[in-house]
Amino acid sequence: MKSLSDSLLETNYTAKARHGSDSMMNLTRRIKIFSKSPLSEVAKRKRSGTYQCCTQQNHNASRSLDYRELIKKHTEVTTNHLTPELQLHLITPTCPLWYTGIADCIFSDPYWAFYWPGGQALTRYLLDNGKEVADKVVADIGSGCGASAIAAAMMGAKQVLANDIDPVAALAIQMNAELNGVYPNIEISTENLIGHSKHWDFLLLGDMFYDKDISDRVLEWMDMLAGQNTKIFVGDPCRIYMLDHPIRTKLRLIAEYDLTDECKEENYGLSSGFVWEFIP
Amino acid sequence: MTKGHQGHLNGVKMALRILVGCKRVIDYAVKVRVKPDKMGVVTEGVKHSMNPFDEIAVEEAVRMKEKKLASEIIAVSCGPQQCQETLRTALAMGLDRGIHVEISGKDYETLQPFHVSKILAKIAEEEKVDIIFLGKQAIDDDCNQTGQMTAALLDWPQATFASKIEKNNGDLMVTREIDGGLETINVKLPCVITSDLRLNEPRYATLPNIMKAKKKPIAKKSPADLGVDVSPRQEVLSVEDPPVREAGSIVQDVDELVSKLKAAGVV
Repeated sequence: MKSLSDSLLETNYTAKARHGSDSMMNLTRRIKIFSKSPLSEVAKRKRSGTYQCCTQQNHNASRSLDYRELIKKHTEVTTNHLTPELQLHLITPTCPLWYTGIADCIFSDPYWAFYWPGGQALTRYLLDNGKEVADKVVADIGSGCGASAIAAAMMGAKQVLANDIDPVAALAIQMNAELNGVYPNIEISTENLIGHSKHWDFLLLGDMFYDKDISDRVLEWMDMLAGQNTKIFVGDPCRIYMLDHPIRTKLRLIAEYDLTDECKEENYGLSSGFVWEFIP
Repeated sequence: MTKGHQGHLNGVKMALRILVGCKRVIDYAVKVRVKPDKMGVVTEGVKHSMNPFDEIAVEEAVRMKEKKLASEIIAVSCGPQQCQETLRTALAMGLDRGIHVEISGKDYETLQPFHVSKILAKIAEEEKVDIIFLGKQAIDDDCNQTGQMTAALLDWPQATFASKIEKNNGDLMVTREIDGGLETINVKLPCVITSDLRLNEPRYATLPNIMKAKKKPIAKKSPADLGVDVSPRQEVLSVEDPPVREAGSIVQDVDELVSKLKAAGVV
C-alpha cells in the first residue's frame, strides 16, 4: 500500500519535471550548484566526526547569501504551530522537500527546518511566562530554528545566545530572528558548547534527549551549570530516553501542551510537549 | 498490565509496551523468479520492503501510542543487515526503537516461523511487553504461523486476523475476520495479535519523520544472544514455478462444447 502511493508520488513529480515545472527544474539545478559548496563539505565533515566548529562570522557574505536564497525558496514562513506569535521559515507539507527522501534533500539533515515538539512547548512556556527571562542572560542550546531564543529575546532577555552546531541552522536562526524583529539582539554561534563552563542565568534545552550518549553528556553538563546557579528548562515530548534516563528524577514538570495536528504529522506517535525545570 | 513503566510521567492512560514484528520481504510489486537450481527464489538485486501486513501492525501500534494507550513500541526484524532499512521505515512511522536480530547466509535461507517465534517470545520476555503485534502472514512464504506459535510458546492468548482493536477496561476487544463474517473476542493481556488487511491503512513516512527516525536507536542481537537455536528443522526439496497455463481451443457451437465437456468427464 505505501509503496504504491510512493510510486504515485514519484510519478507525479516525474510528470511535473517532464513538463518543465519551474520549481523542479530549479531544484535540480540547485543540487548541481551546491553539491560542492564549502558548507556541504562542513556538513560532511560533521557527519564523519571531524567537524570543527566555525562561527557565523567566518562565513563570507556570498556563501551565506546562497543559503539564504535556498532557505527562502524551500521553506514556507509559517505561524502554524503552538507559538503563532512567531513567524518561522520551516519545511511544511506545502513545500516539495517535505515529500523527498533524505538522499534527495538539498540540505544535509535540515533539523532546523522543523519546529520540534519539545521546542514548541518550551517556547510556548516562555511566551506565557516572559517575566522569568526578562533582563536575564539566556542560552538556547541545540537551537534548531531558533524559536526559543527568539521568544526569550521578545520577552526582554538582556542577552540571548542561540547555539546550533549546524551552520545552515545558524543562518536559519538569523533569518527567523530577522523575521520576528529581534535579530541584532541574538548572538548566534555554531560552537559545540556542551560541557563548557558558562555563566548564564537560563539554559534552554529543547529536544536534546534523543540519544543515550548525548543524554548522558547533557545531564552531566546540566549538573555542572546548575551548580553555577544556571536555571535550566527542558522541553521534550518524552521520548523513550527521557522515560528511562536517570535525569527523570531531577525534573519537575512545569507545563504540558497538546501538540498541534501539524506537529503530530511531523512526529508520528507523539501527542504532547512537556516543559520541566531541572532540580539538581 | 503496566509492567514497571512510569505511565503517569508522560500522561499515558494504559502504558502498554508493544513489540511489533517487521519482516523484510520481496516487495509485493516484484515479479518473483525461481532460481535455476530450484532451491529458492532470486533475491539479489530485487526490491525488498516491509511485509504489508506488518506495516498494518506497525500502524495500529502507533495509533495506540497516539491514543496514549501505549508508552513504548519496539520494532524487531530477523534477517541480514538490510533488515535495518526495514526497521528504519518502522521507526519513521512512529515506533520508538528497533532490535535487529542478525541472521545471514545459510541460517537465513533456512529460517522458519518456528525459529522466529522463539526469538520473538524471548525478546517479549526480556522487554516485558504487553502485546506482540504481527502481520497475519508474510507475503513471501504465506505461512501464517508465527503469531500462533509465538502465543503457544509464551502461553499467551492470541487474537489473529484482527480487523478492529478497542480497549475494554484492562483487556482488549478484538474483531476478527473469519469465513462466516466477523467474530469479536475479549483477550486478556499480555497477548499476541495478528493484523488482517482491513485493520487500518498505514501512513507514509515523510521527510521530518524519516530524519527523526535516524536518531532512534537500533540494537543488534544474534539468535545465540537470545539462546535460540536456528538450525533447520525442515529441508526444502524443490521450489517450482506455477505450471504455465495451457492454451485453450475455440468451439464452433454448443453441441461441440457439450461433447467436449462430456469427453473430459465434467458433465
